[in-house]
Amino acid sequence: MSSDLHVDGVTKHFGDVRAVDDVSFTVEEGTFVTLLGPSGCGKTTTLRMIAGYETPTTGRVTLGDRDITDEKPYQRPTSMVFQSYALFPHKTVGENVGFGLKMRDVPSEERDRRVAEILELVELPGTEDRAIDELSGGQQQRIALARSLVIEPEVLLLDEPLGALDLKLRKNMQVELKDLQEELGITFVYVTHDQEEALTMSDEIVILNDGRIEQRGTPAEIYESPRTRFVAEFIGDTNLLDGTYVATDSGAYLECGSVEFPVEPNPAAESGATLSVSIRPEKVSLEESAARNGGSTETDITLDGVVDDVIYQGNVAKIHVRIGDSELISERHVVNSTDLPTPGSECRVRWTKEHADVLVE
Amino acid sequence: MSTADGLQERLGLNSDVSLGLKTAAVLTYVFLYGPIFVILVMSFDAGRYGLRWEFSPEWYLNLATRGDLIGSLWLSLQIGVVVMIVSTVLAVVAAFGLVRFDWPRRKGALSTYLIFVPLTLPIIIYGIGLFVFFSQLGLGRGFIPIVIGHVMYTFPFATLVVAAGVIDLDRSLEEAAMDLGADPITTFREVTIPALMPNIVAAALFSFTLSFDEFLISFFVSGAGSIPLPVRIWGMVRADIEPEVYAISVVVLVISMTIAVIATRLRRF
Repeated sequence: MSSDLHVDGVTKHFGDVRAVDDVSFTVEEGTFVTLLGPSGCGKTTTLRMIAGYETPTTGRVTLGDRDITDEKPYQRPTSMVFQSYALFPHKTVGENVGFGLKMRDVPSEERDRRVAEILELVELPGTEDRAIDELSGGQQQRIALARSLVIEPEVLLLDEPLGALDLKLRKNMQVELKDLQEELGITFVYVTHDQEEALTMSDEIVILNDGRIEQRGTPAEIYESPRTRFVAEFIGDTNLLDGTYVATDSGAYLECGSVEFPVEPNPAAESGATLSVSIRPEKVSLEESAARNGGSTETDITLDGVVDDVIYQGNVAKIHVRIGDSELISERHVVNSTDLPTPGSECRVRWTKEHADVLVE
Repeated sequence: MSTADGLQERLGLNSDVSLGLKTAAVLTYVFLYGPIFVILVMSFDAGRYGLRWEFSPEWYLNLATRGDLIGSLWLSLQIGVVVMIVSTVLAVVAAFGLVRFDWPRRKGALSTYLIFVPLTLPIIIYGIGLFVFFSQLGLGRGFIPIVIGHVMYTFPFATLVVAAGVIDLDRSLEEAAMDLGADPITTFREVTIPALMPNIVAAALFSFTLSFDEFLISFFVSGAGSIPLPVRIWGMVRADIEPEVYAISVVVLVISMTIAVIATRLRRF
């Protein structure tokens, strides 16, 4: 574990703007970590500080025992794949891929061999003599990847590399990139604003907002246990119920207009605070009112409501349910579209307490 | 033909209007190339006064004996090449300074503006100014003053052409080169300059042709020993047009068109 990447208390100012604000995280060697956030959240600036294009105002970047904070991009054992690919337009595919090896004074015979190998790896063998503008977007993307991988970087940095590809190609490349990363065992730091992409590929996700880390964790942790309102809304779809959080010795609950229900206590939230609870739509099940008796138990919450709207989307349906002043969405897989409830009918929603997350701002 | 027919169909024009459009198109090209065609015809005319045209290569053959014309042509080519090199090198430096330097507030816009203002000034003012300036300096007239004058004249044009390329240059190309291990000098040599090459070549050819045709500045700062071709031609047409003028004009035309063709070809890279 000597080559873990540490970003330690890094802050970056551009004039009066604080683009990155006291960000710290560790990327274990050989893992795939995604910096995820909306545009302007500081994810690209953070990546550029790891690559060496920007110098942190304060804080350190270290790779294993080596402090690389002040090293130039050409001195670092990192390599970057750009959103625009940044392939040299006046050089052939072979010259592009071999550029890093040439800079390292690798003899031309070995260079040719390694270029051929890496082109094989990205499934574009024998394309050495092609011009860059003869390649499709997806092929250029692979060449950009090959150009970075051929120099065997300790950390590969990827700045929204799939952003310019169409949806289908992007989905394929997501899987291929993840497979490649596992095969090579190189540390990947990946920047994207696409939450689905992050969930698909990452071992760990670092969510940035407004220059700060909102939350970090595995995709499942981030999705299933969001800690802030921002994370809950940014990752996937969710139901947000606003109310007053009340914590007592015997447990916590949320007063939400005319209804109240128990929630898991959140030590970060103060009793009496106005906050939101997030429940993922697929965790909310729907029953017809008369189906079962009995209200909430300690772990199983049920609330009565009225079906407001049914949105059929083929394999899934979203059922909007009005409960007092709030609206909840229950999502379910559709086997028979005739089984869906009709708008206006009375119903009961049900979820397990652990699936409702008390959010802080 | 098919394009004209297609246009006619799309616009629903009758054939009279179509004929009108064709005539207008032909007249436009006659207007553009007519004078050049006249020069070409006259250069092969045996008669001096254009009363009756008769083919003769006489004036071209005479050119060989006209040491003054050949000397001026040679001088103009030499000046053009020196101006091209100096102007292009300065333009590359200036373009990077203007585009890449982190100028203080509003100073960048001002600096850019001040470089390009000369494009709008009457060239004759340059000519007079340089004449007085070089006389005061004791440089007088001749090769060096002409080169300096021409560089002042071509430099803003060349800078404009190179700066457009620097603005459009994807910064991530240079970042990628450094990322792959190239130091800043290697990056400039291996990536920046090759990526800008179409603009640099265009700026160079532009500088050469501007210098090669330049008359007003040359007129004021050329001396007895060094008279560039445009000034020489002007001297030859003042009283009575010597027919060799037509021949040398066609030679100039061929040189200019060759450069234009080269420029078009190079643009593809």
